[in-house]
Amino acid sequence: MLYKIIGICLIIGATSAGGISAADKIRNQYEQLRYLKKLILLLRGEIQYARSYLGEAFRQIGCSVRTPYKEWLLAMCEEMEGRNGGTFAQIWEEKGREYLRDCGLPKEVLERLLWFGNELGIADAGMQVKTLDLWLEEITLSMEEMRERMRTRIRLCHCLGIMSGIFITILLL
Amino acid sequence: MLKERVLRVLPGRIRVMLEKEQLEYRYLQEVRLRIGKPLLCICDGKERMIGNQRDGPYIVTKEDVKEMLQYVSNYSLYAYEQEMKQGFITIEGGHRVGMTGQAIIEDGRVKNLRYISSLNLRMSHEIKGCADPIFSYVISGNRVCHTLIVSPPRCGKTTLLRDMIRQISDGNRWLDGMAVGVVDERSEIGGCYMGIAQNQLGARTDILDCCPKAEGMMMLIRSMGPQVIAVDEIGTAEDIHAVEYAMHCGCRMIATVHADSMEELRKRPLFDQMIERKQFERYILLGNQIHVGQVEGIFDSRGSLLYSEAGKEG
Repeated sequence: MLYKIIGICLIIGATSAGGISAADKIRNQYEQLRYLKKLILLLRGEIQYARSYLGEAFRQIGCSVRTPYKEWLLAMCEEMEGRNGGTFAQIWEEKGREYLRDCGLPKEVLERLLWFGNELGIADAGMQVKTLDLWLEEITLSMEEMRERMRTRIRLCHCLGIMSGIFITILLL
Repeated sequence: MLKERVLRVLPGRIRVMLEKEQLEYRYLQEVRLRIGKPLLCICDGKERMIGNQRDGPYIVTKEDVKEMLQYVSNYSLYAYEQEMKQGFITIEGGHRVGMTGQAIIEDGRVKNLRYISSLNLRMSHEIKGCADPIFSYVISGNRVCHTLIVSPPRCGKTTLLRDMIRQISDGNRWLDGMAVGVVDERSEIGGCYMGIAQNQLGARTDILDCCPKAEGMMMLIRSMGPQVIAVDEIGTAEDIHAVEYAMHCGCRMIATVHADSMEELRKRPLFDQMIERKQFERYILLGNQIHVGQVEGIFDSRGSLLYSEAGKEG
């Protein structure tokens, strides 16, 4: 009997942990989006006020942000300084895939981020800032949508975790 | 160093090709890229087509120009918007990349360039001591005369100005070192990279990089108290007024201007008035008949010839 109780506890504990982990993933996605927004704001500031070129801005921002964005920005900067061929968009996409694949950003946001290289480095500074503004708006919208759904989804993950544990236990009994 | 700087901004394929060529980089003056046309280098005054014996001269492609444009602008064209309006970007080392394409016009003025079809990498040359022959004529007592260097393009006026700044700043046998303020609107004099001059401008020189001349001169006077102010290529009414203001503030002025001769300079009303008012005490006229940077004449404020390189040689 004792073994059965221990088994039940372990099963329910494991599935609950799974549920908590899934909920944390959702929270992390939101947190990553918030951080990405901060990065774009920093980039916007560097472009608008200091007219820094992209490599310079990446180095500046890269020194003060957290992993994996730090490695991503510094690697971009290094690649750009090396001037080994390839357009900016190609470098951006390649380095983005290399460093941000597992950073926790929602898939569609990551794809949008990788494509964004095509819109950076254009000739008009005003237009460049507006492009960044537009992207910031998109991210804000995604964050709002996510926040609205987040509470329900987190609760659902917790419930599903526990319920699936109970369900498995019943099946096994 | 010069070789690395040149190669860094060139497209990969052209970089490989130039590395195979036995080029004397210190004599390299220009590298010209025109879409669909042969790649040209001007080295020591001689034009040279780059390519190989089997395929003939290398024909520049659209991709080459696009790639080079990305390199010279550090992948950030927006950061060079102002420079592109003028048709060139100054790169590390003070070298200039000129460009032509289709102009974008807004309110009757050039806003930017697009469809860039030609690029011309023009090397900046630092020649230490090139100002030696003229120094005794631009110093009066231990004071630098207000000096205007008059020269057509490609006759070495910026090179001469740079060496004058260096010598005035460090001091030489004619004068003690003085505080020099330089307004380097196009980063050609100091060749600044991230605010630090790549060319030697002396120990007492303060550089205001990428700053409009008129505004920069005022800023220097208020903030750094220079004894001498140096600017390159004055021309607009604002520039002239700022030069006059600086002179009235007790600063000695050294400036350059584009013109073929003194007569041509006088045809421009703003400069004619300045000459009439004897604001500049010395005019150094440069040419390139015998060699680049040849001093055709040094004139005083009344227009009397003080020195001529041809006369000296004759």
